[in-house]
Amino acid sequence: MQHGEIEPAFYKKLLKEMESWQAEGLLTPDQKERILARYRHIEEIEQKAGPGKLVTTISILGAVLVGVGVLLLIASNWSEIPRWGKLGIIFGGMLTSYSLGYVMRYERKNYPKVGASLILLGSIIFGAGIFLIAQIYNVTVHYPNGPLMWGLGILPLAYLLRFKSILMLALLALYLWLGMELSFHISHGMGGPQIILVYFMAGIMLWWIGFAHRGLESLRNISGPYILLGVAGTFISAFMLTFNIHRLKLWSLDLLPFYTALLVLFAAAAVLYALTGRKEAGWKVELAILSMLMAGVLFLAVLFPDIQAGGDGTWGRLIFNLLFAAGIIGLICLGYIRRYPPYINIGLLFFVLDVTARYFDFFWKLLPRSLFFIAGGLILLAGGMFLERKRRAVLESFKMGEEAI
Amino acid sequence: MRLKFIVLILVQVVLLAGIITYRHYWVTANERILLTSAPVDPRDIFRGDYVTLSYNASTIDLDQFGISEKFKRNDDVYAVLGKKDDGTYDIASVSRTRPASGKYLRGRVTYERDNATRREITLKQDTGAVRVFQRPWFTYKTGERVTFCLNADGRVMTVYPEKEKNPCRSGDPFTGVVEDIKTVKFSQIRVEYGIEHFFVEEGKGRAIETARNARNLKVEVALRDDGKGLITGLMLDGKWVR
Repeated sequence: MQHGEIEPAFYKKLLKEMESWQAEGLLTPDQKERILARYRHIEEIEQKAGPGKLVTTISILGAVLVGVGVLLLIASNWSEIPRWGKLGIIFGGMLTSYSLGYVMRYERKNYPKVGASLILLGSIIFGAGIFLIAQIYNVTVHYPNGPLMWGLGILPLAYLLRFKSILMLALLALYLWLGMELSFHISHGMGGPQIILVYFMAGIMLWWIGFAHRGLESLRNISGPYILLGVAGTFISAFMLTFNIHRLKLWSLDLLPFYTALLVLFAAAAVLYALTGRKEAGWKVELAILSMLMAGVLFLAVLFPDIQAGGDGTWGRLIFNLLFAAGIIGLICLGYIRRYPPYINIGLLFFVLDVTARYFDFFWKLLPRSLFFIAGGLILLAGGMFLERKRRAVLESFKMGEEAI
Repeated sequence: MRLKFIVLILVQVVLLAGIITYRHYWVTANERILLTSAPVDPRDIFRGDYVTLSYNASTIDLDQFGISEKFKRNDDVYAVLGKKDDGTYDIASVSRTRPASGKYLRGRVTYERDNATRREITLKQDTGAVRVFQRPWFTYKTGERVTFCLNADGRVMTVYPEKEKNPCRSGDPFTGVVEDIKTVKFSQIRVEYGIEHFFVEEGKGRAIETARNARNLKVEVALRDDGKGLITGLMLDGKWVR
């Protein structure tokens, strides 16, 4: 491994590890010093230039600001800039950003982080370009095509360069496209809950596509955006379904092509993960539950397309609330078994949101207003302290566990 | 790596250029027609730098065209266009199926309402002349004297009590006694044709909206044979905005 490719995060981890090796007698102080000498330049760079993460954050912020600036420049001088001028700014900005970024990161390697941000800026300008060109020529035909083109246009780049930032951008654009496209396919009534349910399925699909990436060594480092967006998307949609919307239709045969496509992609990811790569602890239970949820939605949508919760929708709501609570507990348990902090953090976040929402739903009418707020505040404070302690204890136990191994 | 990177960037350039080519082909291969823009509720006209355009075929009272069939959201609908004396086109009839000939706009239903109501108001002038007008709602009672401000097509734009002096800032006044008010129930659909937005620079939207509401705005559309249109320009008081 070349020294130039070593990340500061690795260096920090190495320092920590070596301390425990030294304590266990695996490493002599002299050996430790010799190993550290190999990576000393990273510490020097960190000291001189500031932490690598800070550079990345500042560069990404810079890329976003320049992107917004280009948009504003064109928008506020719409009449002064001729049509070819606007096109010149879009194409010129995009190509300059991409090529400068590529040279800085991969050829001269003098500013790899800034280079990466410039490539991200190129992807942002590409997306902005789609919408600006559509505006310049007043092409308003089927507007969901805009985010679709953006997402599909930058997705291959994310894979080629293994960029999590561009992958996240592509997935967000495609997630946005899904909602816009769905509104063109719903023929009856309020479409909101039907769209939420498809987002729920899409979240589960992304979640497991993330796992399929995690299983393959070559794609492991870009599995994060899929899993993060998938788990967050699944839980945000499920959280919405715990509210009082069950008098409305949740599914429709109009959306059958979407249900099927999401299920097929999910199944393909599941098979890929099951057949190849290394497995995570508890994956079979996780996959079984997610498969049941996906199949369940398709089953209900096809066999009972017109079913709606009777009366005031209390039963439907109760079932969804129980499922959601079970989902949160399941996610936290999985995070604990797998020693995977993001699951625990997301699980605890939705636990707090759920408790708060249900407190407002159920007790708002039952208690006098002042008592309601005092009791609510005390519950939240006590809950916050409990969760903070629990979370710390869990994360601490991971570290201790790791050290003991 | 370098070659693959260049190829992927070129694909993005081709995609962007594709939008321009697509639009260019659409505009050059199809006939351009002028449509009259309809007034819009002033509360919901300006969204950012877009001018929202509306047409007589944007909200369709199905009983006016003798249609009793039901429409669902996202259903296709065809607004058959007729040429007016001034050379512009306007809605002549509505069809669920694609017309065999003639010019038509193809749209999709965005909203359907089975229980819409409107008032039919009979107004009698002092001269004895009687006219029936239609309004979505009407707050006056029979026997009251009112002034209706009519636009060029004879539609009621605003209603005032007669005692108000010179109430009609635009349009012609029609004053009389309310003889009769009837409530008519009907089905209504709202239709989107993909030619409802036009992008302008900041500050220019107001003038275009005012002209649109006074009916001085015409929309040039490149119309494909399948009824899909694309805006190529606006004619504002006889001057082009492109």
